Amino acid sequence: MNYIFFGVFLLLIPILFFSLRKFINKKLNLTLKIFSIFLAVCFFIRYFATDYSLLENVVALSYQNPFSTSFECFMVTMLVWLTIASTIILCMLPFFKYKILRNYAKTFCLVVSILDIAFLSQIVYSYTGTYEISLCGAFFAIEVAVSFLYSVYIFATENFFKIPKKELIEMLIALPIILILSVPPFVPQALFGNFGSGGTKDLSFFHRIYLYLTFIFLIGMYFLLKRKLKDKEYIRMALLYISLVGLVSYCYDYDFARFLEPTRWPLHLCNTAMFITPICLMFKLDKLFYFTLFINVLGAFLAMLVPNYADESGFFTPTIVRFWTNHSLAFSMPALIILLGIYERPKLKHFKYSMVGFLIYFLLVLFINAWFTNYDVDVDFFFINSDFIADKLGLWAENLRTDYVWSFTIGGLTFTFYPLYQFLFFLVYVLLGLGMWFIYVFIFQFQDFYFKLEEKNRKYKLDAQALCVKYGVKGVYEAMNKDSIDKLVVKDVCKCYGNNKYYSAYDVNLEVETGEIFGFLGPNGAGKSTIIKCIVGIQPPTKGSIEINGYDIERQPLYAKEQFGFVPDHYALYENLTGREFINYIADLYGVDKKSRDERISKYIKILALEDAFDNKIKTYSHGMKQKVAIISALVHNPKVWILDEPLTGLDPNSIFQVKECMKEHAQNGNIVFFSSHIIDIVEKLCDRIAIIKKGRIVASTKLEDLKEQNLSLEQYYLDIINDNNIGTHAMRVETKKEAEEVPASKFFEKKLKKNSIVKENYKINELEIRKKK
Amino acid sequence: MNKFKTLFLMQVKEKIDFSFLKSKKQITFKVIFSILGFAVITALAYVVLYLCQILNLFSAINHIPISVMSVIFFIMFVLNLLTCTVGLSKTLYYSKDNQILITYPVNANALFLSKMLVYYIYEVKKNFSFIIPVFFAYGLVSSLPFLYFIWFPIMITIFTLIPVLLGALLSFPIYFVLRFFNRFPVIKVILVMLILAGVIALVVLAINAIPEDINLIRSWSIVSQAIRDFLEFFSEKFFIFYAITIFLCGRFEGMTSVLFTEYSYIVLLIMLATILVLVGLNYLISRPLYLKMASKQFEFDAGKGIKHTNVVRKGFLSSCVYETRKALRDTNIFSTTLATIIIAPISILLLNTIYAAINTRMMGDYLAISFNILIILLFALAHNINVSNIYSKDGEANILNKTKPCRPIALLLPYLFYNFVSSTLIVVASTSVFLVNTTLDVGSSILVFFIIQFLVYTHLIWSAEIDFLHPRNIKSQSNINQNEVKSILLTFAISLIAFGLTLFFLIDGMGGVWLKLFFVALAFLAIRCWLFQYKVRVLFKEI
Repeated sequence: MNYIFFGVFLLLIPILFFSLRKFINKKLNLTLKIFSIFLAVCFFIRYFATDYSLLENVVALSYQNPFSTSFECFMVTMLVWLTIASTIILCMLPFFKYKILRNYAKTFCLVVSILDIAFLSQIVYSYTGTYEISLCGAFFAIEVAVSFLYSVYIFATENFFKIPKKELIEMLIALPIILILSVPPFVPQALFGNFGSGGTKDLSFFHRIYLYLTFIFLIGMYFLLKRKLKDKEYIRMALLYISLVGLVSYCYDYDFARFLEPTRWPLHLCNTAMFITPICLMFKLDKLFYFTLFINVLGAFLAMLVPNYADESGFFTPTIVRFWTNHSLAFSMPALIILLGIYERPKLKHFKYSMVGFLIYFLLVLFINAWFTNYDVDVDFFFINSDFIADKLGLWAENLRTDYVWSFTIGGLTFTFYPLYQFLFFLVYVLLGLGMWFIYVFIFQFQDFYFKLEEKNRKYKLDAQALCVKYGVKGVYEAMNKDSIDKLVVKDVCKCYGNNKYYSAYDVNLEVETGEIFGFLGPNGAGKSTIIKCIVGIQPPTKGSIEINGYDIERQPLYAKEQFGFVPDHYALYENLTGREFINYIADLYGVDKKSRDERISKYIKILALEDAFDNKIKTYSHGMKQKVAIISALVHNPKVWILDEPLTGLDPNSIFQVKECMKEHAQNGNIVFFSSHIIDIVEKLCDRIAIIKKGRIVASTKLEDLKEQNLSLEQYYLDIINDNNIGTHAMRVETKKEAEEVPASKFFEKKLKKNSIVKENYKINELEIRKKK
Repeated sequence: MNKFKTLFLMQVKEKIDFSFLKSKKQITFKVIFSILGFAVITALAYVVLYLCQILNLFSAINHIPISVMSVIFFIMFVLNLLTCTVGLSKTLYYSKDNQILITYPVNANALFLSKMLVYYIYEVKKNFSFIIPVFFAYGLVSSLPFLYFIWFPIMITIFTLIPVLLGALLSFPIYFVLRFFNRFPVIKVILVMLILAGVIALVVLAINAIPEDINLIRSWSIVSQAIRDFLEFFSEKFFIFYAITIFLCGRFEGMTSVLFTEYSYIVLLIMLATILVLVGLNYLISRPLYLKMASKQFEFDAGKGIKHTNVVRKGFLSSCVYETRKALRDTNIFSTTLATIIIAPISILLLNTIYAAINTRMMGDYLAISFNILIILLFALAHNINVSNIYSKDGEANILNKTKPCRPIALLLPYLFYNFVSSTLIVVASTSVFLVNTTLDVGSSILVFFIIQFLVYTHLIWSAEIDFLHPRNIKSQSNINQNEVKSILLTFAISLIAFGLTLFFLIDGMGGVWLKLFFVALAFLAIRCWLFQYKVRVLFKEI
């Protein structure tokens, strides 16, 4: 009989389909949407038309086989399960544009619908207990016919079995998740028996397993879907699927008859979540969503800690599987929705909405409980009518409940309330809701931090790969730019600190040649130290590049740092070490051999008159002595570039002279000396070239010889420039925040890298080479 | 007056964080959290006092005698006096802002007064977060009249002047003692060792004094009598504190509480007179000494260092060696380590001797094991709290690390080497004592050792990460080190969770308790190590 129904609809549906398509002017997607809604309606009518015997029938398949073979029994159990997944996929298909749904439709759904046709009689028998015509059987036949034709249509219009490899992998990864999530509560028991008998409450082993699974689900789904974070629609699709299968699972023992009993309505807090979540994912309903976010999540968590089912049941008892599916989803789904960005993060107004919603809900269940108790004493929505919660809290709560009772009769109906207990119940829940707010804020901060971290990590990796793209297979331990060897090159460097509105340094370009002593001048706050900090790697530049002896400080930091020695504007030493220990420590870091180290240390401590105090602790040194130690530490590895930031502050005249001599000697030996200073006389006598920085920009750069030729003193030249209101009058404003954060290399090479997989290989090879070299 | 006000506001803002005043939202949160914090401490104290009351711990007639509160008040006063003395010696004589403040064109008296006033306000604030909630809880438990809840805060605000003024007087000799110890750290270490030895001797005596069979229920009447005798003894011998407590809390006459007695006025007068005398003494002694000493630079005796030769080491090893040297030369760090290595195992021995003397059931055994783990962890983790400041304390030298040609992780890990070794020693010493005194088999003992060790390393790495992510400005004079607070919270959280999990798994009786905990601890350590290296790799350049 069911096959006749099926056959009729198999013929009727294509006619309906094409008529409808013609009627709505060939709008295919709209037609498909109408058919999907039709399929969903058929599914839910069939589902709710199935009476309680559904569970018993199917579960009985495992040991009371109503069919002739065990194979039939197994197939029916499996198909009941797979049909849920298949139907929901087909219902969602026209509402989302993603290939994955179409691929499932033409493979998985097609196979399931063919098997459904083959086992139609057996499945309907397991639902209804009869082979005769029934409402449930008829709608299942229609459902199968629609699913079959739908799948065939997609199969025919989507290149048959052709699925690109990437899409196939995506399908295969998602398939187990799709199947596990759609498993009806009675199937695990049918397949594995009543596993476990140690109880599933009071934090017993099996209770804990369920709790672990809830958190594993939440975290697992988050990380799985996080990859698609930029594609919110995809995430919405995935979450909608989960919430719909959850709803189906939750409704398995609901039938039409139960809906006619108001005392059985799903008004418990966590039950409402099963309906609210899919509704919120289908439609944009802010207020409803934030209600579920603050109220349902908390309720579900508390319910999971203190489950209210009978404890003697086993791990796979359908009631328990249903309870946990329901509460796990009520707990996890709103959290996933907000963490994955489907709804915006809650603001104070959203919290207020949720509390208003909660008040309405509370008053509603308060009234309904009092009213319905007249018909069924077990009515206890939100557990505020009985002593279920009070009992767990202890005698004081019981007393609180029973000592203050308010009861009255209207029209023969008695209404009983427990005002103090119920008010406190409400108040505590609101406070817990407030606590949830702080938990969410903490989670969001955590999430933001790790997002930024991940983003930066990705950027650095891209930069490293960009290096390989730019210079081919050359190892990163080689000088990146041969043209910059024996030079210090600062190219287009901009630096903006944090969220500042102005650049501290903007578009700075400098090139210092070997053998030069280069002076860097500028008033306080002009940006001298900022540039120096960028050169030595203390601060990363916002834009631009810095090359030291051919090595890029950003992309080859270790090799670039080996090229220079740095003396900061303030001595920064380990005060509990002796001078000798400190210098040896620095020499160790630079890998200076014993002989060179002995020679250089003895030379410099003699020049700087530090011999007597060298083996005393640094904390006993004067300011000048500490500065001398900093100078020796910068020279102990004989760097190619010696960088000094206002080095002469606090030194005695003799030491100033000695330091100047050291600078000259270092430059004469074919090295670079780059230093900033306020003492113009010294700069004039010492330097070959100077640059002046004002408001973050280089406003002048000249050779000292040129000034001499023009009979200009450096002091006059400097003052003219600094006091000239037409030059460098203001710092450069950051256009947008985005611009400040932009790193050109990442942007530039990103597309190129995606296409060029060889680059990644090269990068790996280079890393190996470096390790080998080390 | 204006100058005094400026001076006062400048210092008070440095000492107490008022940044929340910038927005109404923050003010609201601050007020809510302060009230909540106050309520939580009051509630906790209430629970403790209520339990004592229903257990008839201090009195046979189901109430808390005033002498109990006078003991609590005495302990708090002594602690307050100690913190005031140490705190004021730092604020008055060791504070770096002295060198700037004395150059300002303000009256020298105003400078001294502003410093004292700032410290006094800080102390009052501290009292509101502990002493007052505890005494409020007492008021609630004893159903004291409403007036008490107004009277007590006002009086304690006035009374706080006494420890502050006394502390200011005592800080001067303390300053010289500290100076002396700074000059001769060897003497400091010897003194610490002597004190430790004394403590050890006392503990050994105490351990020997523990009877072989402790039965609290059987011997309850003796214990209870001993407690009451002690309270009586205290009321007699420390009558002044007993009288002040009555003055603050009132006394019971029959079943009714009387807040003001005939002695109240006398005590009030004595208290005010004492304050006046202390103010006078401070004016005559502390103020001139402060003005003299504050302008003195800290001096070090350079001495004549012994000539050494240059030694070559590998970069990482060299960092480890020098970081260890730095720690060993810091007498605070070294003496803390030494004290922990000695005190932790002794405490565990004491604990286990007491446990051994008690005839426990299965649940008691489980509790004993869990408590051992808790105590060992508390000692070892507390020892590592200094790691939450490990990079910041080097100040600019730490920032300069960025210029060194080493991988970031290779620069940061050696800082942890000293704590890694010292905390291992602490765990080895205390766990060995625990395992010798327990009935656990060899396999479980090894697992217990590794569980504790992993948790200690986890805390170590986590504390270092806190400092790496939020380097503290060492120039800041602010008293609250947020990194340390976080590390302390972590200490308690990790120890309590380990305690809870151990007890839970033991009671659960599912078997494999130590194996489960071992894997949890290992996973925890692995996650924290990975996160640390990941954050260092990504954020080193920017922080």
